[in-house]
Amino acid sequence: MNVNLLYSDKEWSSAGAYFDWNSITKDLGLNAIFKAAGNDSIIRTNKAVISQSQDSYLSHAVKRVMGVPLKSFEEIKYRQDIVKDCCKKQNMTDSLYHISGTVLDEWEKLGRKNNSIGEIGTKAKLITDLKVLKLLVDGIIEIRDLLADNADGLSSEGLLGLSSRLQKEFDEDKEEQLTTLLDSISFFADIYARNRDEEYFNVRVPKIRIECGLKDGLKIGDIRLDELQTNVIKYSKQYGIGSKVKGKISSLSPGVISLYKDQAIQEDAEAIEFLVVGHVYSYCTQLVQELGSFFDQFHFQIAFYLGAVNIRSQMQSYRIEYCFPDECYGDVLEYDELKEIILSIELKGKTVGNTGKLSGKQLVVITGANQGGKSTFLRSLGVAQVLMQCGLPVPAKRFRSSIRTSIFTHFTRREDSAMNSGRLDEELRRMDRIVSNLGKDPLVLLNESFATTTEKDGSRIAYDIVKALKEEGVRIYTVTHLLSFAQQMYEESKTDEKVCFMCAEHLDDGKRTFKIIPHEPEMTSFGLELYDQILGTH
Amino acid sequence: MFSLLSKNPSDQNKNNDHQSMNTILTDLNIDQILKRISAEWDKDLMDMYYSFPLTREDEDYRRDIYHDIKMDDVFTAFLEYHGKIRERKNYSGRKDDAYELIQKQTWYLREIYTYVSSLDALKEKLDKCTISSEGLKTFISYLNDHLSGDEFSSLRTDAVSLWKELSDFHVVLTYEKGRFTLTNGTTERAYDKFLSELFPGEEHEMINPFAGTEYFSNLEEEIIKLFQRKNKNFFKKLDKFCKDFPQVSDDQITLFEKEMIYYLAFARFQRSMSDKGYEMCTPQKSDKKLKASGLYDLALALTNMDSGKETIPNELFMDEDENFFVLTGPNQGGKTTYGRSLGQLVYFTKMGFDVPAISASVPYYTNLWTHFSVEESIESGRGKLMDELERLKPIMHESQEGAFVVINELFTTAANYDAIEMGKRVLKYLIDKKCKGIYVTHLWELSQNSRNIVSLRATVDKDNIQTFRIERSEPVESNCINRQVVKYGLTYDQLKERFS
Repeated sequence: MNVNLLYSDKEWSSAGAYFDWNSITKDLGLNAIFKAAGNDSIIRTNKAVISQSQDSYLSHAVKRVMGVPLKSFEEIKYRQDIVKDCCKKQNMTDSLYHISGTVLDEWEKLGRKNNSIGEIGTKAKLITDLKVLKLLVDGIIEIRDLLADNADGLSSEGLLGLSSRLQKEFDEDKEEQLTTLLDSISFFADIYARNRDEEYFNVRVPKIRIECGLKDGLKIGDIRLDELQTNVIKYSKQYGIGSKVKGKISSLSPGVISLYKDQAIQEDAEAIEFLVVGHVYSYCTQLVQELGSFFDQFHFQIAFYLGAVNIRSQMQSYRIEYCFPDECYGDVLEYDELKEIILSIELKGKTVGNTGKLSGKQLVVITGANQGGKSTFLRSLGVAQVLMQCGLPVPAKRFRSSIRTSIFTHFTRREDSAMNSGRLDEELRRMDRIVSNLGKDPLVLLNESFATTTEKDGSRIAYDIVKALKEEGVRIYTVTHLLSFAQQMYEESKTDEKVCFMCAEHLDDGKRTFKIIPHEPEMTSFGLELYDQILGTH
Repeated sequence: MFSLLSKNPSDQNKNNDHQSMNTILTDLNIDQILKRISAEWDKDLMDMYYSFPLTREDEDYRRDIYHDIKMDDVFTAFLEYHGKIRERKNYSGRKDDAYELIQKQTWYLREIYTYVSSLDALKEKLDKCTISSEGLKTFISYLNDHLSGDEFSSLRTDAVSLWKELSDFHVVLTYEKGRFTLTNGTTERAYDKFLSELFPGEEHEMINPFAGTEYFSNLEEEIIKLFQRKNKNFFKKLDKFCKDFPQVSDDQITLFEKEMIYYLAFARFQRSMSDKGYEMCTPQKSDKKLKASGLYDLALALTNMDSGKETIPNELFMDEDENFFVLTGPNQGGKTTYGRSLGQLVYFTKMGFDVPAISASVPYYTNLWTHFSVEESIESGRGKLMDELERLKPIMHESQEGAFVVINELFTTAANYDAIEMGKRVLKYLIDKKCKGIYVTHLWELSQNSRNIVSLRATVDKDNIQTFRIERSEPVESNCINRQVVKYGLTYDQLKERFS
């Protein structure tokens, strides 16, 4: 049975992930989002947050899911709808996550890792297996009922579909049959909560009827099970367990084989009990396997949505405006008050949003003042793209973008910027890896690439690479200090519709707005300005 | 008595020398192939693969039989029959292990019933097949006579009826309140039905708590006592059957069962290779010319298959007035592999099997010899040369006229001039003896100076990268390959080329 909460037609798998998700995570600083996802402080009663705790599994789930981009707006819509439902029904989402979590935890405690499904092992293992079966069956019914109870307020295809599949696959008939099955083998394993009866001991004893052939060396073979049930016998506490002895006396008659004739026959009887129950369980292994993978998938998938709820709560609490991007056609990139969420979370919402339109632009070169918001802008584009492509809300008043499943980041990280050949070598190697794995319709984000060598060399390298990539149809957004490179590009493509140059805005009085606007590249990166500002003019 | 391995089985005792065969098969990596083929089969199979047929007629005799056996219908019939042989052996073993007489008797009944019915089934299947080989025709006519004989007929009648009676016995065992009760007959199997209904598509057999030992458990003993009391007549008949037919074995059929595997194992192997895209073909008879297309090293294919690598096939042509290939070329260029594939071609042809190629014609060679230099010898140069010459001695002495010889890197430790001289002498000796073969060497000089010698080279492409293709080519002094390493390929021109 499929969970299908992440995709309408398949379960989660990591196939089709971004080529280098770890680099993207690091370069775009996505860990802050994962942390927000794990910030399990939802407002459970719509009032104040009672306790704050960090659930790393939620972060983990969001990180994994975000690493695999959705491929169509249909898929995005499917997830967005579920996210909206989950935000609306936070208590339900929370309960679903905790039901599956509890089932998996209990299973873990019963030794899931060491017990492989389907193997007939020892008696102890079989007892454990039966307990697991009971656990999973109870769990699935609990999820079924919870979804059914909430069905009224749900509108997403994903949650409603899951609810109706569960009701179909585990209808009342099936529930009853499974109960009968569990009941009939309950003499073997203690799967029921103990009933503390005042006056009696409850002893569960089996009745088994089998049919067998005798052909192979007259050994018992070809065994078929006709009847199996567990009878509850109550022994009065007053007379104690000793009253069991009565049974022994009555069984010493001819034509029957008494269990109490000798020890070995008792052992044979135990072996029959064990194998009969094992036989019944062998039919259930498939179910256990199915339910097992259902719970694994379900827990992971619902964790993603609970993570999404938490991320949204975080945005809300910092009053960051968000939207669920709509479908769009053609080569589109439009943003209205787009914020960089990581910085926004850090600064508790006090950040500048950018508004603009880069539809149809294949090469975007961003130059300008240091500390002017260039990298933040580049990251905000990347983050918004990644968020949209996993069905999460985007921190903007409005955001529309074509789907880009092949994203690469090539950021010069602060700690890398020491100028030495080893660093350049490492940068080139990363670039080589990107070039070798571009895939279809790629988007490459370059941030201060090749700043680890001289401006002249770096410009040359960047120019060669960007020009070749551009001619190949690769989409490139680059933040650069390499002004020779920017100038040369500008001279060549001033009239090219597909190329856009942008700058960090600074007002006439020299004040920075931290907004990025279309502007031709300047010959200075305002480093001198900054130098003057900090060190003063001599 | 007739044999599937030889037209005149009495000669077959004069076997080849197992020790030298061992060396040959190891050199050609055929031992690895045989290990793969004979895995899961009986132990004596290997022995049959370790000796050549003695005559040209025997090679053809085997090839004809193999041609029949690899056909789908014959193959299936034999494979099924082989499965029954195993079953029978299992029953026989359990009979020996059984403790009680009545147990032994029921196992014996099952063994005989299997024997009778599997032979009948084999005959029935073979009757529908088109058989053209002399060997199998002889076997089928023997089988027909044997199965329609009086003795076999009465054995069949008794075994079938008793077996049916025994198989139909069913008892119902009820376990409740500390005791078992037993009745004859069957049940509704109600709980099993409940399970199949609840879990559609699932069908499980219950694990038998009493299997695993031939002895009766105490419970079984009690059950059998009750059972015997109820079915006295059957046990009387069974006892008589065992006394009437104390043993059933036929020497001819026993021999057939052993020799059949020689073909069956290879046929199954060939099928599994074919499934993985490695085809083999029947070598055509040829008077003088040795030819093959798409020839590959089967042992290498097995290794590559496991690691997902490609195996490069090659062409082969040796005209009737040509005696020896001298194969030179760069290291790691596929020279030894080519030499091995030629040896394998000759080996499998001689054994009557199909060969690893798309097409092949192979003349008759009296024998197959190999000489491979021992790798990484820690001995000093002189010691190794001595060792090589010692190993060469039997080949130079014993190799009859017309044998096929595969030599790989002789005299690598000798001085160049000496090595060339010795190599020339070895070649001259073998050519005088009308031997054919291949000499893999780094001494390009050896391929000169004789009409009967063909120079082959392992080729490289324009970037000096090995292609593993072997071609006829004038000998050239070997050149060292220098592979340029271009570091990241990120200049504008390189990128343009990468994208093109």
